[in-house]
Amino acid sequence: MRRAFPLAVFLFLSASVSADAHEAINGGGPFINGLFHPFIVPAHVLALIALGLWLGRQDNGALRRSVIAFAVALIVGLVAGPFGTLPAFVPDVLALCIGALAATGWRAPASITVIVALGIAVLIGFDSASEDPLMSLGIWAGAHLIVLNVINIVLRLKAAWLIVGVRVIGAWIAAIALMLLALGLKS
Amino acid sequence: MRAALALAFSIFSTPALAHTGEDISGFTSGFFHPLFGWDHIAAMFAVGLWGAFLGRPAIYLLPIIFPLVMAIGGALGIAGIHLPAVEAGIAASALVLGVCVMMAAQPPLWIAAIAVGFFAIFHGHAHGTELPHAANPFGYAAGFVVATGLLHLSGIAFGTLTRNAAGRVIVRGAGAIIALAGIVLLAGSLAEIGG
Repeated sequence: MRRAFPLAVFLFLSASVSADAHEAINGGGPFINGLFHPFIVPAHVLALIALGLWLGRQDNGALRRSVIAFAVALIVGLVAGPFGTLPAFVPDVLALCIGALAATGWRAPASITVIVALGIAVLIGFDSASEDPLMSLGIWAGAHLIVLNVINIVLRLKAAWLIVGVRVIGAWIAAIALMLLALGLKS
Repeated sequence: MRAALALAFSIFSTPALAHTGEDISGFTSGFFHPLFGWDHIAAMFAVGLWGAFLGRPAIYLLPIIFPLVMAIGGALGIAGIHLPAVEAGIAASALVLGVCVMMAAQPPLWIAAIAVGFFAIFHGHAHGTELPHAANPFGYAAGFVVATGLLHLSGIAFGTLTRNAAGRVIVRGAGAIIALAGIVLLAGSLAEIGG
């Protein structure tokens, strides 16, 4: 698993495409389209990976509560989404902030981790929501696929240099998000 | 593992159409951008080597600080904000960081962080200027951030030689070579500015 992680990250970065959010995958159906949605929106995938990196370094209690909060808040965001739109820069700001948080390696109290998980989930849900419940279900599942897998990988890391590696990847995510934010604001 | 990586490279590689002003591609172009410039390679490698002399926590804080500050420089480049003598700044980074490695300098962490962060702005600006032209800006940004990080990692790995006396001489020698390269690159940049 540990040896596969760098390859998986590399493949993900290599295969990623430009931000064609809400673009349908032909023949996929609404659930599959929803499932892949968090993977193909750069700011979302960055924020979700960074959240997983950060939560994976927290205490068990904080981690458990934050995952539950994330699951519930994502539903709230997805349900509320069709009633409004977020400014385009918000997901980049989210990815920047949570990436920077992961870079600090801060082991926060449960109250903070829950608030962060809630905020990320509501805003990402709101930004990706669809009026099709099946697609929304797919988005919910796709977001969990990213966050839970990253948490699972981070929890398995024991060597000190690998834990430093988690923080370095957090810094990379923040750096990428900052430049995407600058590009978005410029255009 | 090597076969899997080679396969991954071959499957997902995209055309590398670098250089400012052209419609450059995504991850591959970004990834190779720092690797096609000796100034970038020398400075990034020197950051890792210097980390080895500075020890903990610098050895892992510098590779965290560098991309974050580099992104600020990148954002300035993307926004079209002019930074004077970017190429000279990058060349100077190779010179200064090379000298620090050569001297096995061990300043307080905050001074090392400020020095590395200062030069990171120039490296980021050079990369960021090209980003708006990328067909896939996300891939391009990810590519050059990852390549920069891997160059740091290479420097840190080479820097593990400092665990014995002979290794320290080799690493300091590498610093001297980087510093010399920095002098040549800086002279070239200054001549270009003057010309």
